[in-house]
Amino acid sequence: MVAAVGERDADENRARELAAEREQVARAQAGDRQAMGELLRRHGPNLYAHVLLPRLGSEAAAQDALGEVYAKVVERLDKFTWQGVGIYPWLRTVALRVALDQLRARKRTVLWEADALEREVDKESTATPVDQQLSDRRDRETARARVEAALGRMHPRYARALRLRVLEERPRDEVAAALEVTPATFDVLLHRAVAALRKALTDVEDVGDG
Amino acid sequence: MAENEPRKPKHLEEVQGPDAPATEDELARAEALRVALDDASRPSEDAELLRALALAESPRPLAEAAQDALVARALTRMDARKARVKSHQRGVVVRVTFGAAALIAAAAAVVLVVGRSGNLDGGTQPELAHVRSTQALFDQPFERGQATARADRIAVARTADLRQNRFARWGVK
Amino acid sequence: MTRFVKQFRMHLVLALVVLGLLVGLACESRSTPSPHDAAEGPVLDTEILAFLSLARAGHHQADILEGTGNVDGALGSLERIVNAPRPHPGQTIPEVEETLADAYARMADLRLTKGDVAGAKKDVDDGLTHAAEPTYFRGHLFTMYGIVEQQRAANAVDAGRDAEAAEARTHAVALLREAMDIQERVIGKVLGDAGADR
Repeated sequence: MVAAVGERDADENRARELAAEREQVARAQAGDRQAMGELLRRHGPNLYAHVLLPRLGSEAAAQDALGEVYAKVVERLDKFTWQGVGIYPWLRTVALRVALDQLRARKRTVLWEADALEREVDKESTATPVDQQLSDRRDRETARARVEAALGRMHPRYARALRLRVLEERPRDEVAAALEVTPATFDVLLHRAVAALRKALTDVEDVGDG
Repeated sequence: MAENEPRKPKHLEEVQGPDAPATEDELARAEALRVALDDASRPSEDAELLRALALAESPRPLAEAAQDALVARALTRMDARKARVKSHQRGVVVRVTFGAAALIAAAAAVVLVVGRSGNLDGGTQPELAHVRSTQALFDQPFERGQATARADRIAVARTADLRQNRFARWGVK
Repeated sequence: MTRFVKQFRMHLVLALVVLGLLVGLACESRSTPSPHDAAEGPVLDTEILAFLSLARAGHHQADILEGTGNVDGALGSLERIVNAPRPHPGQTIPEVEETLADAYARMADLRLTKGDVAGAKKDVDDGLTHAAEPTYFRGHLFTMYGIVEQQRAANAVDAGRDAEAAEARTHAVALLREAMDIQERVIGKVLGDAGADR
């Protein structure tokens, strides 16, 4: 009973938030600078952290992309039609397309290949839009699943080296000791692990949404 | 995957094994990677890939200064877009007023377009960021003791513009 | 034929007059560049970025030195900014001008901590040469100028120079009022733009 009441309160809060966002979007579409700024400030950090950064693999590239996303929002917001889950799904699609353009231009290996991202963008056009919280959770899970898939396709010793040094950010000497090698030998191991990672990324199957 | 179940080797490193003796080339590349991991200003595709791996696993939040600069730039674009719309409307009024001859109307359109946008080809030139006041990056009067934060914001914003110019020149929309 | 020639000449003269007016209109739209015009001036490039990065580093270095009580060292870091070679010499780059204005404002602030009122005033004067437009940069320099005059007034009081103190106080009030006027003009422009299309 208490849980049901809590759920109802949460639903009512969510409905109020959506109504407020709808009004804010309408004001931004009418040219209200402050409303536009508030929309970008509210959603930009999530687009950056969950959509752009994992796919582009660098903070500089993700910031550039976010700037481009904002520019497209300013140019195209008048074409957006309100949906029941808010504006975030539309913003996320814009961000995915910008990320795809930039991946195609950069020609460097990151966790996502342009083809895989293109399939993701195509799926978005027919998928049922979901709210921001669920969307962010799925994006985080997708990114981590990609990492695990890549680590799972290489020699376990390389995977362990990458986990300890890169994902857990442990100091070089500590990781070398954990792997029972000298630091200089660990450097070579890590270099080989990177080569294995590049190969694993080209082998990784498309990891779909959760 | 358990550590006591190595995958079947498929290429040279795996045939040699992770702990096989290193070649001179590998030693040099390993050292270059070590240096690049310690110093982000050193260019290294391998180090970039490792940072991408880390960011996919644990994304870092966007710095507030960067967010402020990006939002301010977007709002400046919004202002410029409004100005272009108004300018276009004025151009239509001018052509109607001087509609006595087709030559005058066409000449008016050409002169107005060239005069206001510098573009004869209908906007196929890449839109590049030009130098301009940084006033738009700031919402409030300045406070003492905040000069460093202002310098940070200006540098971040214009760095983003410069990268955007590079992408625009490459034809990335 | 004659009538046709006459009409053609009349239309040609009319067309040339109108073209001349329109060229004048188009040129006028570009003849008074404001610091907020997004399409004037050269394209942003690495030379300009290098200067902005140098300025950024200079301010951070000044923070560290100021934090250890080394005000002269902090001033040295800022002097490096204002004395650095300008990108695109001969061209006015708004970002560079505003960065210089802000550096001078900070230098004035630091000199005041040393009691160097004359030096602080010179910094403000130098800064104002780089901030001619009504922006927060100019407003901030006027605020600093007002503070400099406040300090001059205080020094004059301590030295028993009452007339000079009164004059400096009056000047300070006027400068701070000017600073507020500039800030209000900037705020008013922003609010005006936001509501323009409602």
